[in-house]
Amino acid sequence: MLPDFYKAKKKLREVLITYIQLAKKQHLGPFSDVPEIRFFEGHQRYMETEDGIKDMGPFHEAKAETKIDLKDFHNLSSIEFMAKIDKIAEDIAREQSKIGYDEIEKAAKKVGNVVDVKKKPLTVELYLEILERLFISFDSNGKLLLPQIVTGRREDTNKFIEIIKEVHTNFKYKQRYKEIIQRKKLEYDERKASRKLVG
Amino acid sequence: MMKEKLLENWLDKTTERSFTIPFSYLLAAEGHTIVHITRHCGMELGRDIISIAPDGIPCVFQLKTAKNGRITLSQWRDMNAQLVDLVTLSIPHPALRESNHHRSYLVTNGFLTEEVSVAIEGLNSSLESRNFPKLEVMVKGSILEKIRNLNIEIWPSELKDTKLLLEILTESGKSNIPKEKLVMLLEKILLLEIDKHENPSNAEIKRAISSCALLCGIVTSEFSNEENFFAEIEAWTIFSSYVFACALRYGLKKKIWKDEIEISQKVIYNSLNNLFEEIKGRSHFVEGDTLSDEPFFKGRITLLISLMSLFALWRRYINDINDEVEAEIRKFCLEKKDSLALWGEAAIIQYLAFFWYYRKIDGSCAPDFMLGQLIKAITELNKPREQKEQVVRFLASPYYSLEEIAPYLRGFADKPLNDFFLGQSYFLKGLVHLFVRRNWKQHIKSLWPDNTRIKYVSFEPERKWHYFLWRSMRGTNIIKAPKFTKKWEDLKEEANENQGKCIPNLMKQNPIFFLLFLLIFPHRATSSALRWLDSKLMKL
Repeated sequence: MLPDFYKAKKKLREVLITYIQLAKKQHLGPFSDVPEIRFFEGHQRYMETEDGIKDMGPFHEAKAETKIDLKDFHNLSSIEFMAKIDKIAEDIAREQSKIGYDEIEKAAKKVGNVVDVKKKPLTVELYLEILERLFISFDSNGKLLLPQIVTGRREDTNKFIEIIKEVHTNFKYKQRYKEIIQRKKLEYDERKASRKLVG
Repeated sequence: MMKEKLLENWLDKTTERSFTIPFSYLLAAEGHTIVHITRHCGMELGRDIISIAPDGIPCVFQLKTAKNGRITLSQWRDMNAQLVDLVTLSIPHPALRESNHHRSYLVTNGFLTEEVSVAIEGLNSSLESRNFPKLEVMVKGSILEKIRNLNIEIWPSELKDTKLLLEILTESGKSNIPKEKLVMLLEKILLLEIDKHENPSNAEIKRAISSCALLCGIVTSEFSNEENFFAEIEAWTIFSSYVFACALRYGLKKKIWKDEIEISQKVIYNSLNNLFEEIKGRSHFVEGDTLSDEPFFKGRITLLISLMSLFALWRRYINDINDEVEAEIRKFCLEKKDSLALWGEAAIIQYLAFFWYYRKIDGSCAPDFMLGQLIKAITELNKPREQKEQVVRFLASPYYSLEEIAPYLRGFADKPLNDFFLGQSYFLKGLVHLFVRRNWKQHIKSLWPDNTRIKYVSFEPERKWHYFLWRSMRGTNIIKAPKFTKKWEDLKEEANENQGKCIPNLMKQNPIFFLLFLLIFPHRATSSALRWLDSKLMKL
């Protein structure tokens, strides 16, 4: 074998793995705020909500690969090398996001919380209908915590921005929005108050 | 060949303290029933091991380290009187019937000089003339022969496994047992690798267990030399757990593993006793480098309180009555209980060990309120935080030891912690049940809303024998959110359940050992396990 620098390289590898774990967060989008819990054993998970909804599923693997031509290794600059590392982080993030969205879709379908627009255009009515179906949370100061909207296309994002603007400027929609939020607050408060041991 | 060299090297360097346990296992493998193993506290008058040979004759062994590979005449002169007593005095032990004679052995890891050989011959002539049996001698060569007979070929022979063994052997005896490395070796020897399907004969498994016991004795040598009693306790608890895994996986009859388990339990009990003696004699509880001890100090006290509580409960379990010992344990635990530190969920089982002892010695509601305080602490430290709220304190899951989590709690970790603990707990459900059993209804009512914000997490191994493994790659991680509204009567019913269905029957045979197992394997302390254990220990 050729001289290797095993100890230093082992340390560097650990640093690179940590870097990838941090870097992928930048590409996770809405999932970047989702905490990552570590499981030390087992091959699957089972979850049960407070409402009794059950879900069992295996762990999924999110992986990425990159190719390095060893014959061309001497031409690889540090910048090019780090670009490959960043690409790994991005690819893993993409895999993870896909898994996340698949799980959300599965969960939503299971409880029937899906609105099929049947290829109709996005409208304010549709937006308000979605809000009606959602569980909406509030912080300890009573401030509304609306969920994030994730779209697949730029034009849909722009459309949603327009819709939300209209909801807050059009009197009729503003009223309906206000009523929905008040109902949601009531639901939230009732739910909060239901945390009790009775009897 | 390499393994033999390794063993010979170990034997050359071993001391009486570190050799006692491996030698006990060698005897057990030959059919001896081990009746007594020394604590090396100077009270045993040279009787390091007492056994009953396969032919029913009691045997007594004195172990002596050979300095520079040989027992010299000056060493012989120092031990001569003790050896004469060894042969001529009867062995006062409750497990032995009145016997006219016993066999006496001098065991050394080296050889005898010519002068010593001659001296022993002279002694034996004198003993014979007085109708006493001879003093038998076992030297290095015969010990190595015994080891070879134990079929060490079954020890892992691949280079990486030998490397693993070397790494454990060269570990400082002052450190904690390198559990991950130890279990890797145990899994290989005892044929417990989950993805491999073996079909060994009973004879093969028996040899594997005996061989494993010897291995464990050897790898704990350095720790024994340093009088690192907790490391001994950990190692032998892990060994016992893996033997149980083997017994369950292969449907072994008790006679195949009974001896090794009994010895390991004696060793553990001795280590607890030794630890007790050390604690009794200490004026402070700082250990090692003082400058860096602060983050670990209260965690150490918490661990010591739990171990002494376990020791006190064990003594009650086996009716080992000694008011003086009980008074000392009680004094230590009660004086130090204000130093209990909740550094992570793994500490909770340590609190519970104390709780079960505390409940025996204190009739007030203070022990029960300790449960309430633990519940409150979990719901406070691990409550879900609002976004962007900085998390400064949390309770790590029971998969983290103090050594692993302290750097993150105190800010001296060199890499980020890739884990998240808020909104979940492995112990909360069990604690709630224990508190409910004590009927503190109003207290639980006030704690309930915060309790519902924490999900109950547990792990269910795929097979019953996986329960005994340090980690099992097959199994289900269960995350359940408690119902927001619960009826008191329903909660009581849940809390009173005590079948312990998750616990393999082998473990149910000795609740004290099960508590010890949970102290070392805190991630196995499910709510079902805690309820069962509580039912058993409260009856003690």
